[in-house]
Amino acid sequence: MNVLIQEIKQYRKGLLAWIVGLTLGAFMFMPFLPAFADNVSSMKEFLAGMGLSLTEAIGIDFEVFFGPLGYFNYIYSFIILAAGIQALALGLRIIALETRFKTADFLLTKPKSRSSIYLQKVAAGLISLLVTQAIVNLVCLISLKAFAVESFSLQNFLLLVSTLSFMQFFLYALGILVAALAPKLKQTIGVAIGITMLFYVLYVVANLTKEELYNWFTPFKYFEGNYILIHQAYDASFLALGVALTVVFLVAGLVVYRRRDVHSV
Amino acid sequence: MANTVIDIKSLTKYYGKHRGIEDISFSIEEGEIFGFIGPNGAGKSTTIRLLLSLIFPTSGEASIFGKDCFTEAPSIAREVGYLPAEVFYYDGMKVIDLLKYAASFYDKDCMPRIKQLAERLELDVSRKIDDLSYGNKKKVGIVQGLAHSPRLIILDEPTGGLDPLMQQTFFDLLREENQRGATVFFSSHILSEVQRLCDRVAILKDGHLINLQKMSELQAESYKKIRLVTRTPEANGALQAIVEMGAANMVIDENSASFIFRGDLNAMLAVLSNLKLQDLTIEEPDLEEVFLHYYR
Repeated sequence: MNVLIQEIKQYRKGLLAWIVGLTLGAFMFMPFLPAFADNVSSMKEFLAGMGLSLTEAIGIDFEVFFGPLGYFNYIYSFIILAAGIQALALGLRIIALETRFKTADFLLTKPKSRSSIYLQKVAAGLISLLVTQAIVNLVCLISLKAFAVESFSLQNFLLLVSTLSFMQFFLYALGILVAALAPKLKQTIGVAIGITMLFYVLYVVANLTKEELYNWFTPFKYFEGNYILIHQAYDASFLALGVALTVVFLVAGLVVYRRRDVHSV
Repeated sequence: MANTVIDIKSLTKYYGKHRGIEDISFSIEEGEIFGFIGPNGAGKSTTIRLLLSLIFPTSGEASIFGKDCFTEAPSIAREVGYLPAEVFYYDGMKVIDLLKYAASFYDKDCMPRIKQLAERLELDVSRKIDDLSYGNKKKVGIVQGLAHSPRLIILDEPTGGLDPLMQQTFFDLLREENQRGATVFFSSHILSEVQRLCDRVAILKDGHLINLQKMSELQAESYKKIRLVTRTPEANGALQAIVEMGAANMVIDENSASFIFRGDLNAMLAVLSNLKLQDLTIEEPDLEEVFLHYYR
């Protein structure tokens, strides 16, 4: 447990900054909800004027956009994008920490197996992400209740916000594997932004081209809010793929971490 | 018979195509202070990092306390204290927090010993690690390495950054640990410190073990350091003869010469007796000179 506690202590300031940033982001856009509801018809014209392809590209689906959850989903997709960067950066950081502070010699010569250290680190990150998700989603729910004109289904809300959890866990696990494979990595946030934006661009391209193939390469499609709003469910095969990859990344990360050479600095 | 603490057999490590160490074998007995010397890049750190399971071998075996270094590392680590060449610790932590964190890995209560060591080394544990000088960081390393009273202490070039007084305190500490029963494995490229401390020494060159001897043998039995002053103008011929007998590091000035000698002293003195000597000293060479001999 000592490594887990130490890791959480090390990350608490960063975690606080992310939570504040994400909740502020959510909170700032919610007050537009009533104004938005008042102007649905003019909005429809406006969006039609923007052209169908553009609105589709950024994830606005006409079928679902004009309910409180539709607008919320649109805001929430940007929260997921930012929270995805947080999760990926955290995954990278939690493994690269020892490279950055050159503390590998300290930590890995203690009487703890590498597996135990890895699992405690991973758990510390998961706890941080769960805290992030709980707070962000709670703030979203409260502000949605406060500002939404129409009522909405709590069940659909919960299903929708579960995409944040899946998305964060997926990118977190990917970050861990990348950091385990790249032991010299020190700069984590830049890499996290790069990879997450790459996935997002792929998602946009997939929407624009309607090319099915791209869908398989971006987690934004595996856990997609629009699909949930229309079907009140996940696409089972994408969900299974996303979860399976998350597990594979974590296991592969462990295998690499256990056997990798830790060089002197 | 003493127990073997470290046992290394044909240990080899390549970093890709780059050689780290090749076919190194030796063992260290319980209670020894064992020195490991060689210039930078000779493979000292590679060997130590293998023993600590920080890196994994290309081939060969290594064990500590009879346990395999690579499969039983956590269990070995309970009894090992390690002080790396360069010490870095997490951001924003106070010394005492770091020491408590380090202590939390062991089953015993390390706090009394931590207090003792910190006092001895004059280390202020309430300060932030970031604000410490290099030497003070090193002290943090020493305290966390010795806090759990390990049976084996492994040190990789440990004295850098410590002032001479502190080095003395540190060596005293190591000697006390040794008298308590701890085995000490000590790498350095500073020969005088190995000389001051060690019972036996292994010399490493280009990833190979080239000599392993008792310190006393290495210094006293094998080599003499000779300095002479002569008026004989044609001394060069005689000195050449001595080189052939086993002299090394020959330095000739106008009318003086110095060299280290290993071989038949009588034969050498017979040659010298033909010269008109003004002065002659024969002394124990320090390790530095012996060492240079190996690296010629």
